[in-house]
Amino acid sequence: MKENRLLLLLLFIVPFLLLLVFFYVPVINVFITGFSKEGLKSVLTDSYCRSICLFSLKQGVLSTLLSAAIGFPGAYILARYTFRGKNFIKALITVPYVLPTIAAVLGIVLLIGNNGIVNRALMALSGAEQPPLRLLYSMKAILIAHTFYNIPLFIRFVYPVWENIPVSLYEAGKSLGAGRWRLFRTVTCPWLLCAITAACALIFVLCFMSFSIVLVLGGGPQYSTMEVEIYKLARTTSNITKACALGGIESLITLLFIAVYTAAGHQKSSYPAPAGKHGTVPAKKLSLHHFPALLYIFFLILYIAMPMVTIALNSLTGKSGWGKENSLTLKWYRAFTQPVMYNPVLNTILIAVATVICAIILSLIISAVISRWPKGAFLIQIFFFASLGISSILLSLGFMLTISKLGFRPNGKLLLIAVHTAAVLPFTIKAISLFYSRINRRCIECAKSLGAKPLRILWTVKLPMIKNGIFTAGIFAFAVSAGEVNGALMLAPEGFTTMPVAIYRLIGAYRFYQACAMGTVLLLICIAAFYAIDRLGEISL
Amino acid sequence: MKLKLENIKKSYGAFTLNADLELKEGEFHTFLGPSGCGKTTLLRIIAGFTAPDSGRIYLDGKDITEMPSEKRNISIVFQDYALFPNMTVAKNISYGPETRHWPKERIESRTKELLEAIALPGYGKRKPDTLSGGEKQRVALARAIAVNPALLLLDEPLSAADEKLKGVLKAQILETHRKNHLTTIYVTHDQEEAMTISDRISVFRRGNIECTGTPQEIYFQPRTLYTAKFIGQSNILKGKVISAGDMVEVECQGQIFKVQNRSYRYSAGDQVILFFRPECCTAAQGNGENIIKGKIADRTFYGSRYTCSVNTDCGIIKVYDTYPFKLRSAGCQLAVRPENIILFQ
Repeated sequence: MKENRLLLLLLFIVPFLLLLVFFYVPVINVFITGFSKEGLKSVLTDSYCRSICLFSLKQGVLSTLLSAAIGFPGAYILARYTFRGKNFIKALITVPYVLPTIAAVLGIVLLIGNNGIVNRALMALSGAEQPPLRLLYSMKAILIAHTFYNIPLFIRFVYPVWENIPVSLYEAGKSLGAGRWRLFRTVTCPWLLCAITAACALIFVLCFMSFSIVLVLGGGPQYSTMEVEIYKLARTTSNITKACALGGIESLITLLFIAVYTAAGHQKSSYPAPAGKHGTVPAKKLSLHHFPALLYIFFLILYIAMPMVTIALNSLTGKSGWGKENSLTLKWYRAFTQPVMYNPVLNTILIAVATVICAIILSLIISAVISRWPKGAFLIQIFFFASLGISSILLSLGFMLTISKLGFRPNGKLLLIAVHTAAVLPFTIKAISLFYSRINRRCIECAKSLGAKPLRILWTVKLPMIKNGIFTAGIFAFAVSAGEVNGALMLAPEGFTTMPVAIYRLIGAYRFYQACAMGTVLLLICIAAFYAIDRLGEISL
Repeated sequence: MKLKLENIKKSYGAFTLNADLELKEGEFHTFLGPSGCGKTTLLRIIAGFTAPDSGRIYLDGKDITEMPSEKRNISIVFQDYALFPNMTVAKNISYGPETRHWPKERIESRTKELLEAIALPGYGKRKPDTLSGGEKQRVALARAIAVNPALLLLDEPLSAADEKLKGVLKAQILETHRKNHLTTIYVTHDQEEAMTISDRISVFRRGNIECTGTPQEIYFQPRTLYTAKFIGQSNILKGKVISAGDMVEVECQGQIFKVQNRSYRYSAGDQVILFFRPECCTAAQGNGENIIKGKIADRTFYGSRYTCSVNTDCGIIKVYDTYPFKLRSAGCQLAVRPENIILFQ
């Protein structure tokens, strides 16, 4: 018994040291440099930096409010109505979870760009010669992209809680004479408050730390956020101290909102669950009488699906020659036979597979320790979940800083794998430890009493019981790593391009068709990953 | 195989378990007690899942205290059966033999034999989640005995079953025990279960074994007042010893009780507690020893009998009656034989 514990403790030192070296040392380095007198002065005395901080907050707040306002009716419709295609909507609002931002950005550029589908349609309808909507490179474009991601997130957070409000609360209220409005105020709102708070806190963090959306759709210094500015300072002007100071301030704000999110999530989980399906308000059938709801569903599908559909369709079209009309073609996919197109795919797979292996091994060890030492679970989770509040840009900056101090440059691919692993670790630990905690301890004891040694128990009992958790975590880690652009832009060695970086560069070079082909492949990988996760298990935070 | 527990101690905060116990070969022994009294902890210590703070465990004379659980050859069946959900029924049963590297043919024949013994011959390829509670319990039992264990531990295996199923499963457990002549320890908080199934019972109280004996000894001659109260229904009266010889005379609210002197440790003036079972109390007429007069305060129907609460000068006395009633509501006399009364200090 004691030998096993010692072995586990020794194994635990591996992830502990790895995270210490590849996460805490670089991040602490950023904080030390950033919060130095010089670092803080460089930001606080610079009016441009102050305006960037304010803009980051402003766009974060606006994106959150818009997502919540537009998502609220969606949560209501999903919670209270039943209709054909409801499962499709539920699946659709999960897709943005695994959709790489750069792919979404590409879709949005193709939709709302000056020469985009929306403008071309409006020009055709009105006969105007100039595009009527000038949305790109503005706050509006950023808000559109952020709401595309976060309306589904808000709905997904709120509707299950709404759906689970016990019908007895409404019946008790009605029997005491409460009308619809009073019931909404006194029953629905308090019940939903924690879910809404948690969703808003998370959305704010995601928007506040948003990188590729702002980088591409913001278009310049006027609409730059702290995250983008850190990247520019580090990569373009090499002003590392200022970048660290901005990163430090950004992290403090992020951690504050993550604390709000965690507290609200904890409160939410303390609600009593209603007694099965019959304990909740029965869902009404949606019919033509509910026209506003139908209209909402129509626009929701359009809003979420359009960027993805646009990418896919664009990847299949092209001109066969100068002056000719667009027609269906597979030529952009045929380009994948050339190194410039297939190398990013191979590189992405290489980094993603390495990330999966690292994340799974570390998560397995950490989950085993958590299950053996439940009292210390909270501390372990804090230690390993801290990467949630730190963006990949900041971590990459930390690596750049540490490397410059150390005076040698380790392999960029290795650093990229470390950044990706740190980013997915909270999710993979959560997925695996969820399954780990479900292992019936008595099954292990039975196996022991039947003579099985620890390795045999691991192989025949434990691993088969958590295999879905491992697959879920692995697929999720793969999808996130494959779609990650921030770390890749900062750390990838010269000539090493991943798919998201390739898409970013193709957008920059206005080679949209190739970008769409690359984006579609990335999209398919991520959607397949999402589908597999949906069938196998669950990912939540 | 024989089991001996010597000065076993285990502490969890304020709770301490103390156990000294010997089990005979082939004995069906029950640990009986309320929740949290330490019976499952002791079972886990015997299985090797929990290490005792001190004390020794001997199995057939061999010290197994430090031996890891996988080497003890002690099988266990849990309350929730703990079948491996990822394996079929046959794989569950053959898990132990496979771990011990039995030859393939022997494993197959043992699995087949056990599937037939538990009356589930066609169930080998099914997964545990397709079985009913009773079927799962039988598979768990088969899995535990497949390796011919030295000791079989059953941790409240019937607590999840309904009354009807309990009867069937109890018979299955007893049959398995008798056929295999297995030394078995059974943990339960259900007195009726313990009474009907055990060769001997150990009654637990706050981490201590209060007393050990056959079901008859535990029921009719409990050695402690706690055991007397814990098992079955009881009448408990407070009194004072008037004289002590072969018979002890006890005065209780003016009523004199004569009690057979078993221990010769009482003397006049001692404050004592009288204990007797309701079934030891019968309807009586005329005068004689230990005649108590009273009126029926309440009569509760229990199917085969009624339990009457009789209001007497000594307090409420519970007594069983059957229809047609022998005890009259208006006024009745009860008698308790001196050998059926037990005194506690």
